[in-house]
Amino acid sequence: MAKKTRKVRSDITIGSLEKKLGLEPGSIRNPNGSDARSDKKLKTLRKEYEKAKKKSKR
Amino acid sequence: MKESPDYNRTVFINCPFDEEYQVLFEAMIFIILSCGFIPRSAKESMNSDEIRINKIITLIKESRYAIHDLSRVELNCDSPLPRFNMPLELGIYIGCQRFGSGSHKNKKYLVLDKEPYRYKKFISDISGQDISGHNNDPVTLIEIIRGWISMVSNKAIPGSRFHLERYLQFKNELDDRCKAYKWDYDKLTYKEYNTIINEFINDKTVELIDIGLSDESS
Repeated sequence: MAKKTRKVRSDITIGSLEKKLGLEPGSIRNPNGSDARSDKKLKTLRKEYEKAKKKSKR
Repeated sequence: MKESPDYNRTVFINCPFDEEYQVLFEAMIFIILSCGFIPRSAKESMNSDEIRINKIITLIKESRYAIHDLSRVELNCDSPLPRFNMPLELGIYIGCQRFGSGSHKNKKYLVLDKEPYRYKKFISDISGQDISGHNNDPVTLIEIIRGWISMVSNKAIPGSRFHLERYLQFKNELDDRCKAYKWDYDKLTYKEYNTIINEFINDKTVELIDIGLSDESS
């Protein structure tokens, strides 16, 4: 049977996402290399990466 | 003193630049960046009209943290005298911490050597401090630096295994990443090497975020 895909809510915090993925705290980083705050929202971080990607393409 | 915005995550590297040390230097740059900090080295500027000691003093001023590696204070076949640049820079750093004002008082440093107690033969005045021996081994060096950064910065930093696995992965990808930039693997400048590591770390984070967004459950 095919696996059912369940998306993680984009309002999950980085701390909760690290826990969910079995990562140690501090594993997920901001685009500038600093560690992302554990209470930061995933959607905020994704936006920051998209912005950084656009900036690097300029 | 007006602090630079990145002062609290900047690490000044005081180490030898000889060819044999390159393996350790590369590992050192990687682990500092992987821990979320910014390495600074005299190698970052190729400006030959700048007086070297002034460049080093500026780097010390702009860095809250420092790593001083004394492992190459030794005699070699080229000269009957040891190289003393590293102890000199360590002295300037300690002076800045002791006599500087404001945030200079919070400076923290790590002293490395190849063996833990060898320094007592040539710079015994720093006795009483923990000097770590890396035995010229990049894995040991990564473990020491990761542990030290975690302790002095009081930040949540993943364990050594996480960083070592990433370092191996990075080394495996390095050649391809250099090709993408049309850079020569064996002739990378300090800045180019930093750029490639930063890009690698960002790519790994984006992968993690993407995994998070398409999490599968049965």
